[in-house]
Amino acid sequence: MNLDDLGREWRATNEVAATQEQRDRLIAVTCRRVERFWGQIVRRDLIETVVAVVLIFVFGRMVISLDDLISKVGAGIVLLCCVFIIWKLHRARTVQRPAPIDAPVRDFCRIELDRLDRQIRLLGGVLWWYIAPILVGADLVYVGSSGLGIDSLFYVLFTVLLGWFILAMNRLTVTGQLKPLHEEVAGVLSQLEGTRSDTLSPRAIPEEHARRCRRLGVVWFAVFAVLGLVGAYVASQEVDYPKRAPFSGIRWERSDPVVKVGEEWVTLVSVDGVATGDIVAFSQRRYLLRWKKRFAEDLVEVLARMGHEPGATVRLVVRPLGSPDPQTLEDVPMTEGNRRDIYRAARAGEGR
Amino acid sequence: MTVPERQARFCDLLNRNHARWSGIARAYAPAPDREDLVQEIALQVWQSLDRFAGGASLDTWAYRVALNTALAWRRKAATRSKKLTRSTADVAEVSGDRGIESDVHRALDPFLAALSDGDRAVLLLHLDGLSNAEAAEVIGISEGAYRTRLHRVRRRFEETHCQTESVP
Repeated sequence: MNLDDLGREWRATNEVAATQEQRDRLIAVTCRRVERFWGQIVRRDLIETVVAVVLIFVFGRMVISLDDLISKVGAGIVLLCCVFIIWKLHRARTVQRPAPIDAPVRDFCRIELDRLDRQIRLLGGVLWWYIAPILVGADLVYVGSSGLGIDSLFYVLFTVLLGWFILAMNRLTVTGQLKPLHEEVAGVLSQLEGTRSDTLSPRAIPEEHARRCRRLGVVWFAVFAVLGLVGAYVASQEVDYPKRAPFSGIRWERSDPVVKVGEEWVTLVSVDGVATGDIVAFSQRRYLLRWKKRFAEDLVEVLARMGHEPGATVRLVVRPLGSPDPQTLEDVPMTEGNRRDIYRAARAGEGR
Repeated sequence: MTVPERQARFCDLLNRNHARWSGIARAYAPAPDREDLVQEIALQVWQSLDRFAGGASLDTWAYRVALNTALAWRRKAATRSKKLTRSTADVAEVSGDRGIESDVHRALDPFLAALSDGDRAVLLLHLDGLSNAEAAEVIGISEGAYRTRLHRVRRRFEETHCQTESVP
């Protein structure tokens, strides 16, 4: 028995196996698949384009509409990142084209190897071009609009964990799929080029990769379940503070609030014994760039978070404009009407 | 090329090369997936027909497409399927009718299964009757280099076969 005889037998066996009926079926199937293939390409491009337009629209709108600089910057970062990702993926698809299927096998393997190298590099740097900018942007949007509270802490924790999960999945893909594939193609190439000839090239055991994926999924799920439970508990403790104010207007002289009590504009010195300077300092720390807005529109919440929740009336110490002597106003009612006036004036001011 | 022209060319190519493509599928895919691989080869050949520049014969060109498709398909399938590992079982199972215990089934299929993808391609080209020049063109190496690779595979076959035959 030699290989030449076996070659004849091999061809004869395959000739018998390849019947006319099979050929007819193959032609029909191929025609159908060609149509489906182009349908898939069009669908994929359409989906990617629609997703890109939606993301750019949503974050672009946030950049324009958000009234806080930190949130604006965050939305801007996410917007730029989306555009960059779309460009990078498009570039990856157009520059790293698959090897031409009709290339000589050796060239085909070389191009595939090069493509795998690029993919490994692309996924290796996913933290810097994909995860980190989006995380930073999304966190800035949230922290900018909500301030530095426990909810922001949970949000940042959640996004960091999500980023870690995405990063870990990418690393698993690189080590579990792309690198073994790379080794395999490199093996075929070296066999064809005659630099190596072994019976079987090494291959990572897929079960091990699947096991690591499962383990990562379980850990991630457990961490998120705990985080979700704690977050839900904290959220259940959140109080919906009433929207009331003891003054019906407010303007600022640097960091000093000048408020309208009754029909008179006065400088606010303290509320229920809490110095205005302390309230301002707390508000700046807690609400960052939105501190003036929260002071004016959410005074009940601000005071409550400082441990001085006001009742239906408050004692105000004020100083009439142009006078150095403070006056004490007892039992000034905290009304929703006052707060509404402040809110309307603020909106009208934004509109101008 | 119009669609009817392309279809006519494809049918002609398929009639001449179907057995070869089946052989390639037999060498690179386990039995349940063999038809899928032949379909994939047919699809790739169809889609690449426009690119055929005429430098080589159409059949040699199609062989190149078929071999590249099989190699790529095998890698994808191995990534997709947890069950698919490189063992002698996959190609040994590929052999067609179990009833016919020919030399092909007895000696060649297990030997093909034991070879690496690269060496398997070298042997297939020989088994399918391509000349050394055509085979070298398909792989993209010199004719001398191809002969060397084939000689190495042939020697291994003889060693394996002799050892098998010498076992009482």
